[in-house]
Amino acid sequence: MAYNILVVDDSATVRAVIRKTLELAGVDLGEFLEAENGKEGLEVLRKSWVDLVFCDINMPVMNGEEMIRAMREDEELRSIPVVVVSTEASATRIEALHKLGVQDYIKKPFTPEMLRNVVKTLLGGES
Amino acid sequence: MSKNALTQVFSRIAEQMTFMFVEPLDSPPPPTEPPYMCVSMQFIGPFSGVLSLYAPGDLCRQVAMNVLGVDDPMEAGSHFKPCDTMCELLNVTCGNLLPELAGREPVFNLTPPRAFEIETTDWEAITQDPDAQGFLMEDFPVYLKLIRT
Repeated sequence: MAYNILVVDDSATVRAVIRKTLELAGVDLGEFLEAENGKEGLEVLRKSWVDLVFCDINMPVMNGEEMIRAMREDEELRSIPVVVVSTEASATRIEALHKLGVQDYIKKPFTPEMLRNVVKTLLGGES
Repeated sequence: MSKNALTQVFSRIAEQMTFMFVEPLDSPPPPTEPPYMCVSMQFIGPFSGVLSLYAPGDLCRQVAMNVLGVDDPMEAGSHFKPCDTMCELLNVTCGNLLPELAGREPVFNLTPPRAFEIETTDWEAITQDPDAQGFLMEDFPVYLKLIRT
């Protein structure tokens, strides 16, 4: 089964690396969608079917935490799983993100196995 | 303490992200050609400051190719953005450095890194700055400087 995945990160490099990493990890990608900040991410989510969101925290315009909060307040978006991929890994911040309903947290730099395991755990099936 | 932590964290992160061998540089840097870039970001928390990275443009291109896993920039198309890649390298370094300095509990807010070109005289000044830590990434020099404000 192919999964539609949205990556929200202000770095074009990170978006490209996540795509390549998912492909190398054998994840069956359907549509690979990209957004540069939380505001763009919400626009993509309202237009496209998305199975899983990878989201950075530290972004201009609308940061990842604000985007996730907006998703959780939107009936149509609240059930979409979100994985935060960020450099910011303080215990306090991670606890706050889990309270917001974030499914997992991956600290940069990440390995292909980390992304593959998250996709497998959250979306099920052999990825 | 800061300089030791910076050396260890940057060496580890740069090797993991770029697949390049990284070692501290304690002698004058090998000759390089302009342009030179500076990437800089602020952090605000229990203590605040600025972390900056200085590198020759040739290194930025090599890092971008390695991170994206391409032999030719054309392969990466519009995603080939050497300054953006250096911003991400600094961002990940900063995010991993702060817990080493402050522990895992404190929350820091990081500003998005910004990149800009610097003059050759500015590059020469940073290579002689005792507060900057130099590294060799394979044959290219790179410098990091942490300023607490």
